[in-house]
Amino acid sequence: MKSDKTNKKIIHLLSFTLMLVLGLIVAIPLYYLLVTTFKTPLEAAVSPLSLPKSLSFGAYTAAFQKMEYPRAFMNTFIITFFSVIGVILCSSMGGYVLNRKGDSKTAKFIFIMILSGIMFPYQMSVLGLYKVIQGLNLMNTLTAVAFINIAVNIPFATFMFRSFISTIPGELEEAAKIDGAGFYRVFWVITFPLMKPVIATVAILNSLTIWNDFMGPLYFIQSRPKNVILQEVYRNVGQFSTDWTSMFPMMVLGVLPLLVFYLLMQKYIIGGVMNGALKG
Amino acid sequence: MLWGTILFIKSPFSNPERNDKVKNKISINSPYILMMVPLLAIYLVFYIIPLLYTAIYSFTDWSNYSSVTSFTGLNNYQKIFSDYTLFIGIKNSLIYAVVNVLMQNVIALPVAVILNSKLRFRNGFRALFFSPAVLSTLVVGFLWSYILTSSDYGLLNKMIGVFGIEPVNWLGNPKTALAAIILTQVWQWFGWAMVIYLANLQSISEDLYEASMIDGCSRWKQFLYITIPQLAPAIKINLVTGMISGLKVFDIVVSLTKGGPGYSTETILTLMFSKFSEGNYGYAASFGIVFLIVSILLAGVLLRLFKVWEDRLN
Amino acid sequence: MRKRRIFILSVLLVAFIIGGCSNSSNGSNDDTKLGNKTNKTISMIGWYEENIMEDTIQKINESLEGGYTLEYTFVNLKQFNNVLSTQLAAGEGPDIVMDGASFPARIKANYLLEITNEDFVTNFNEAGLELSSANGKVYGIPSYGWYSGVWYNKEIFETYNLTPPETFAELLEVCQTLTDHGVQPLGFGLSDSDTAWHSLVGYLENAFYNGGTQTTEFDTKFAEGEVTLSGNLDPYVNEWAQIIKKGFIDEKMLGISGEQILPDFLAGKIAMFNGGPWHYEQLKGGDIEFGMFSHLGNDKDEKWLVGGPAANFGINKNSKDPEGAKKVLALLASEEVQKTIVESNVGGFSYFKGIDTEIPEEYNDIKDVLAAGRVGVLWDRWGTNMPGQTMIDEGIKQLQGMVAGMTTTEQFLKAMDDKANSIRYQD
Repeated sequence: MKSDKTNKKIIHLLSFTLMLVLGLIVAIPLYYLLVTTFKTPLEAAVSPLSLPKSLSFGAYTAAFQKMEYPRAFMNTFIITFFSVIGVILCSSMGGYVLNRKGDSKTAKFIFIMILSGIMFPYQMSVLGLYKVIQGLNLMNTLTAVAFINIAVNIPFATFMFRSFISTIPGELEEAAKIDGAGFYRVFWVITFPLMKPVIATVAILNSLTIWNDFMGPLYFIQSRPKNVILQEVYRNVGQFSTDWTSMFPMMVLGVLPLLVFYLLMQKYIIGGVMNGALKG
Repeated sequence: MLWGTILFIKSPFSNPERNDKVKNKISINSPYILMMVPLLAIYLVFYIIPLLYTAIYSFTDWSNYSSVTSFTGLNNYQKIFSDYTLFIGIKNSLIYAVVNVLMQNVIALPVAVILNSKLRFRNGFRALFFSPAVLSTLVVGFLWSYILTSSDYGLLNKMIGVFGIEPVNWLGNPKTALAAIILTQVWQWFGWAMVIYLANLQSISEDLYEASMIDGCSRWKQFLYITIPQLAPAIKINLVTGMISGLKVFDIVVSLTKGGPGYSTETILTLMFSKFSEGNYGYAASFGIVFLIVSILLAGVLLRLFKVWEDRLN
Repeated sequence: MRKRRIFILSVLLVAFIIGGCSNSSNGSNDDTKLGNKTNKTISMIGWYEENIMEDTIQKINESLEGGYTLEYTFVNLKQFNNVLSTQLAAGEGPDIVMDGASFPARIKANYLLEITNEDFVTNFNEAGLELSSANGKVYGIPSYGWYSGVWYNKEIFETYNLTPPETFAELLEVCQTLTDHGVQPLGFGLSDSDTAWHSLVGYLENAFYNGGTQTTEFDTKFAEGEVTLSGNLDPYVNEWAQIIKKGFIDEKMLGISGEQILPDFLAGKIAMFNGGPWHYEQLKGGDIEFGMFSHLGNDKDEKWLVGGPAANFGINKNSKDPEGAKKVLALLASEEVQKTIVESNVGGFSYFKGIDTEIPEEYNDIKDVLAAGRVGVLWDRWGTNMPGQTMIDEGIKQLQGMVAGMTTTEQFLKAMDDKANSIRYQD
């Protein structure tokens, strides 16, 4: 008995050390990114990992103004927010149908067609996309980018919803129908709320991807008042030199909202993935 | 593909008699159709139609080099297979996808198992390991290009120098450049795979372990005969999505090496983009279509393999 | 409660979609439709940082009549070519097309409006219109003239009793002397910059073409596919490659990016690096004495710089407001704006007849080369019948291979020939 206990302790200690080492490897580049924002280029070159000599937020206030942060943030936020809602609405309804009618050949065909979208990066068909966006008169609008994001993220989300819905018994819906509730009412009142975990997962994962999407805005948004955060970050990359002192703080400022969001939602990610994708 | 879909959806209406007979089996009736509309509409307009354009372009010689564009049949596809850079691209994309996905999972799985046990600061570790996934790939590219540089103040070389290791020309040596790119991506994404394993681990019933304890199984055997098979769904998700996104690798290569030195780190997508930038639109489109076919085939093979594995487990 | 929330979300989504659509019809291009004459936007995208373009754009907007405003958007060079190509190919794009070595390709693809008969075209000398005209027709105007040479640290040169080399052989000697004293002679950041390519092309301009065995006629023939590089350039590339063989360009440089060279140069660790006027401001910001000498060949008396018209401006054929775009172009071609452009690019020269720029003393060694107008570059000459930028990209890639020891001179030239064969214009 006793040896088992010491065994456990050793394993525990070993695991902990292992995690610590790995943690260090993961943390150092992040630390480097953060610490560089407080240094002069020379300081950063000579002693990249040391703590900064002075903790001045001058670089941040400068970056904040230079990238017109509130405006860039709002644009990024609007695109992300509406894209995520669009993905959730489309995929939850679509996933529901594809699950409940999963036996039909049409549904199977549609599902496979949608899944194939996971494979194909949309940048490959950017010329066709231009034609479409042009035809809809959506050039240079946030709407265009949001729609593209919805279309790009639908496949994986639909896959998640479809799998998850199989864990919701159809009897509930039948019971509600007997009580006289209409078809859509049943979906929105009974089924949709039950999908909360997978909604959370899809919302979180898609927020990350869409927030970090660079090519979409780059192709379809030209005028600066509509630019997103990453476009502002990239403004510092000149032809012959990069303005690192502006760029690193901007990168941090750009990632900050996501990091906060992630820390708040962290517990839902694991719970959601468990209930979502893995039940398929 | 597009018209086929529309026909399929419409068929219940256009063929009402047949529809009634088989209603419960294969039809999709109207409220269901309405619920599919937003998804199908957006997907068709912003995904399938552009894709069809690409497919059509791939059979033309549309380029900046000629003022007339005409259909050239399979010419582009023939040209692709005599283009030596394509093989470099396919090779690199495959190496990248396979090695990246393996390394990510080989790290992520044990880490998830450890972080699923009662360990001090485990939530802190989980948050830390996932956090690089929050960063944009472009940001990661910039960050790592500074860490990996072979100039005197390259961080990684400075660090391994402490252990007396000679500086390595990470991104500048054709032999190590791809490995260095993979390294950055393992760093960024293993936390993502870990989260999926963690989710799966939490769904494994304790009873299984207790039963095996009674049978006197060692921890290692438990890991091998209970944990791994029970993790099959997560392994499947991680490997398949990892492979697919691995084949699509583009951003990180552009920001770290631009495909260089020489052609040593070009991938299918970076090549396609350079054909595109050159103004060779028809040819670039055929690259895209070949890529799509290769990915679908690969994903199909992978899913088959998993099916065999899962069947055997049951 | 939940239902309401979902309802609100759906309403928001719908509102957003509708809002977005109406937004777009309020967008710049449709203002004319609404009869709104006070704010018509002419768009232009480019890879010059905003701080360089700022004064120019401001000057134009000050004198722009008819209620137009010029809006300039910066896209960094890594994505610029891709973004512009995509937009133009889709029949979209900015009203004013700005491009460098690819400008002839834009003309070829029929994206640009012909402006041969506009008065302002005559403001420029012939060399300035080299990239923006084809078959005797003019499609654009130049911004300023760029050139590249070799920056050197005067203090290091004095310390070791060196003078700026006059021939390529002398350059190699200088490098050797510096190496012997433990100073890194040349700085190259080859992971992303074109400096080795400039070095090679600079040698060719001097040794192969002008002072050498061939005239630029060779390039016209090459552009047409009548001669190949293989078999003609081999000895010259081999001669230049001594710079690799002797270790002045080494593999380590493949892992360094172009901009990482400057700090080392300013710190006195590197004696020379290939560059141009675009480095001037930053060099001036350091505390070393520096100067520039020309690319070198065998002829002391007739040295050539690599260079030509930098960005060119033209009017997008698909511009929804060609009138406004023409107004902007006319202003871009005006003396005042051309002056501003050159002033924003210290050291560059102007193709505008009558604008003489003052050149700082750091350029003393190349003053007479510039005065004689001995500035040229082979890819601009190739550009008449193939997209020049593609050849530049291929050249940079293949040189990386040479430095890494993967590619021989023969393979390098063969690859360049192959590339040219696949992208030569067909009609």
